[in-house]
This record gives sequence, structure tokens and C-alpha cells, in this order.
Amino acid sequence: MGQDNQQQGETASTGQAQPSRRVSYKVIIGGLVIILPLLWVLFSGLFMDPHRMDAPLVGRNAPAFDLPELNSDGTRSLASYRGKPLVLNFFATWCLPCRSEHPVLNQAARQFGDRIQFVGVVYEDKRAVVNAWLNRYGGQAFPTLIDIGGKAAIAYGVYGVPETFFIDPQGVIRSKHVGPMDPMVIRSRIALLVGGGS
Amino acid sequence: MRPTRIALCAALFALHLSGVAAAQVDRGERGTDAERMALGPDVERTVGKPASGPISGPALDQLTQSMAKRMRCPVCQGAAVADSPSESARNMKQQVRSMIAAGYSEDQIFRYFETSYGEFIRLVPRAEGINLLVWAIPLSGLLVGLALASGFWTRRKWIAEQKVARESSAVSEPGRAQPSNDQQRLLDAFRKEAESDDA
Repeated sequence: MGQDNQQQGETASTGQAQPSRRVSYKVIIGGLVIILPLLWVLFSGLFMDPHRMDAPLVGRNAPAFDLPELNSDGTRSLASYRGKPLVLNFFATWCLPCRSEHPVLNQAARQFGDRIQFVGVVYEDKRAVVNAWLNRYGGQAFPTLIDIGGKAAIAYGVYGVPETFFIDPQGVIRSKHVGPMDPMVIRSRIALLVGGGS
Repeated sequence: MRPTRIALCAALFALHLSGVAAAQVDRGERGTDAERMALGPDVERTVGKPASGPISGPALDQLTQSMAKRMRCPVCQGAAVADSPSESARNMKQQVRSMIAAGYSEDQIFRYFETSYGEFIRLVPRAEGINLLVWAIPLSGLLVGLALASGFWTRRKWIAEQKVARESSAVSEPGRAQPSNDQQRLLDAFRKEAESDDA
């Protein structure tokens, strides 16, 4: 009968069946199982730095290098620094944050130089301009080497400047800092380096 | 085109060329050719001895280009080393070239770069472990989508068929149910009797 509304899906006026409007809970739950993890992954991506690269070398042996010195004809190798903790700083004269970082490094070198070796590595820059830049931004309290053809940078996984590696006396990279350092950062990294933490 | 437009296009083109030329100038120390072809630090310690003999000539160029297309330039926004004019990319391409020339295999070269930059240096991820999701998720998404679409389509077809069936039965006997065959025969028999009685 047309007036019988208890029959599922039949309407009073037309007598024609309407498609069932009851929503399937299985569909809802299935949809949530797919959508929620996806949303979580996408949301957590909002807090990631898209430029940041991995630093898989931390905890592993520092790659050996043999680079020419800035102000002499010789070369220095990583092995020649073994036995003392090493702070290896990649920088360039065209790098603006390096200008504020270099005086800080100089000061730290003067303060800790007897216990810790500081070495600068010139990244993608010409020998001729480096001395003037170093003298302008704090002096040369520690030696500087030149990375020819960027091979040392590739071996260390450098993708920008400044980047600083903290290497222990046995030649293992304990930590890496991307970006310019201020005195507090240097102090805490050095404390970890000599204190045996990671 | 008018002469001024042609001149403007030519000037822009020349500017573009000079820009490209400028991009090729290294801001770092290039070193001698021998220095550039030298293997980088720690190659043997990281990946061992070369897998095969030295390579040179066109094969060297082809292999270098093919690998450079599948290696990410870490300084650029996801561009391949082969496509990026940046100095870092050119240095990386040179390092790849040096290693191929020495006879190192693709796997060895990628492992060398992955040691310092991580797996992200590959534009095409290794097909193993969790990386398989890169292929599995889109494929299963497509299959699920097709299943859902076919399900919806089947349901719509079913609903439409039901609607047509109801409409056709309503047209033939509006508001009244159709009698079955047996009932129809009984009705016919009664009608005949009634007519013969009337006659």
C-alpha cells in the first residue's frame, strides 16, 4: 500500500522505491583507515625543513682529505690532525652568515686552541679573495685549506655553507652543525666533543 | 613582426645566452685537469676497488650523463645533477665521471654519495624495503579506486533497472497487482462462464 511507510525506502506519495540512504559503517571506517594515516604524514611534513639533508656521516669516520693550505705551498691531510679534537668549518667569502660566524670561530680558537684544533675549508671560492675576507672578519687564528673541485665537500656531504663538523681525536665525526654558530652553540658542541658525548 | 620587436627578442636571447655563460663560470678553484679527474677522498675505503676496468671515450660520456640524470643535486630544489647549472652539481658530475673512468660501477658510485648525503641523493629510490611503498601505494590506490568506481556503476545500473521494471509494471496495470498465470486462467474460465450465462 502506498501509505505504508514502514517498508524500507518506500515513500508515501509516489510508491516508487528510493535507494537506501542508510550509510554503511564499514565504508566510513575503511575510509578513515586510509585517510587518517595519510593526513598524519602530510601534516607532519609541514614541520619539516625541505632543504635539510641527512647527515649519515655523524658517528662514522671522517673522510680523509689532503688539501692545499691557503698561505703556503704544502698540503694538510686529516691524518695530520689526529690525536686532538678537530673543528672543521666549511665556509666561503660569498656566504653572508659566515661573516658573523668567523669572528666567533676566531675567538673560540684563541680560547681553546691549545686543546682543540680549528681548521677552515674554503668552499667554492677563489684563493685570491680569501685572505682579505679572513682578515676583515676576525683574523686568522687558525689555518685555512682550499677544497679544489669541491671533492672534499662531496665526501663530507656539504650542501651549503657554513657547515661545521666536530671530529674526535680518533677521527670519528661526533656531530655536524648546519648554519652559522654563535658562542653558545660552539661551546656546547665543544663540550660534547671533549666530554665524550654525541 | 615589427623591427623593434625583433630587436627586443634578439636582445633578450643574447642576454639569456650571457646568463647561461655566466652560470658556467666557477666561483671555486677549478684545479688542473689532473686534479679534476682525480678520485675524491676515501673512495677505495668507502666502496672498495673498481668493479671493472677503466672506461673512456663516448661510453664515459654516456654513462656519466645517465647517472647524472638519476642523481639529485642537493643544492637545488630536486633538480637532477645533469640538469643543474650550479657549481655543486658540476662538481658532483665531475666526481661521477672520475669514478666511472676508473671503472667503478653505478652501485659503487651511488653508495659513495649515499655515504655522505644519504639515500636522498638518488632521484629514483632503491626498490627495496619501505621504498617499495612508493610504487605499492599508487598502484593499490588505483586498484581500490577502480573497484569503488565499478561498484558505484553497478549499483547505479541496478537502481536504474529496478526503476524501469517498476515503471513498466505500473504502466500496464496502474495501481493494481498483476495476477499470476494460474490466477489469469481461473479468471478467464470464470469470465467465459459468466458470458455463456449471459448469452
